[in-house]
Amino acid sequence: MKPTTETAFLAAYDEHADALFRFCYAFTGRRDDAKDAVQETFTRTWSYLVSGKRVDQMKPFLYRTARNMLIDRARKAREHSLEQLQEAGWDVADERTPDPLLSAEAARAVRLAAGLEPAQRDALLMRYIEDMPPREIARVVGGGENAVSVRIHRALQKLRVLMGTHHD
Amino acid sequence: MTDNPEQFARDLEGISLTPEERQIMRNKLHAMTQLRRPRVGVAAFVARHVAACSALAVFAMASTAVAAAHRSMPGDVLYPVRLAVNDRIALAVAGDADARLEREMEQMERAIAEEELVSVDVLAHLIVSDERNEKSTADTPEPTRSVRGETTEPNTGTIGAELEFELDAELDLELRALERMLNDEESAVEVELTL
Repeated sequence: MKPTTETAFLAAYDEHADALFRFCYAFTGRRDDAKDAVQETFTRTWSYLVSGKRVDQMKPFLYRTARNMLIDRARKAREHSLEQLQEAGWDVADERTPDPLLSAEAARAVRLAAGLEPAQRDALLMRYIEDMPPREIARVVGGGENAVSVRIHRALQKLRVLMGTHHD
Repeated sequence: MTDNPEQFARDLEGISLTPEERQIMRNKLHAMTQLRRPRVGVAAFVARHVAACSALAVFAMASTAVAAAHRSMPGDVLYPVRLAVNDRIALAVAGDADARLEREMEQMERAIAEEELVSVDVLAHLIVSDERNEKSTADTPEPTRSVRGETTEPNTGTIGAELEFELDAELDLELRALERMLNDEESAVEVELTL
């Protein structure tokens, strides 16, 4: 029996939710923001499907939607002053409070990822954590396969530097 | 702890939703799918079922052509369709061999009758149109015809007029032949009487 759109959508959630959460966590550095980002990503995907459009490949579609949304949010956050963010409910103390659900190694890895350039970080995460080939990563971040491979290579070099600095 | 990118990747793999967080989010998304259903418009339906809709359109056109061909006559555009499709279908559903033969005979007789009907119809149309032309061309002198074949040039403006002229000419020849026969007989009788 052919799966309905709802069934396929929820199956995509079951398959990709954790990986997408990792990606969003590495981007935002905060658990709640990462959860909101995942929820928003799937909500936007459902709106896209409800409008009658088709998604041929769900995984790159989800990552592209999540990444674009996170970039937009980060851009808007930079436009606001610290006071405005606090008025909106953002607490400076949240940044210093460690995530109790995160292991020390994972927290360290997140800090290292934050030290990379966004495009390099995204390409590195998708390649090494989500096991996506450069062709698929190119569909998410744009550009060609060669550009993605170069970004990954530079990200690895920078990461080694950061790891050495971190231990120094 | 080994400091290398692979270790970095393994450390990050430890980041995941708890089972409770995952289930809560899933329930919210499921509720959302029930509230907002996918819309399947005509355009989307057709786009997804191009092959089926194309086949349906072709079938509809073919059925329309077959239905329209049912009353077609020789000379009509769809008459070949009637011969090639409608009649063959009728033969195919006729039943046993005897019924099929009977149906085939009926079709042949009908085709012959239709051809004759069309021919008579065409000829009548030609004659009628010829009469109309004669009435409309009042300035043109009418052809003079006599039994002895003294004719002027026929009004060649219509095919009907040409046919009529030729028929008159043939009739005239036959009448002259009859006259010669009568004259010969009379001559022969006179010779007998004198002898």
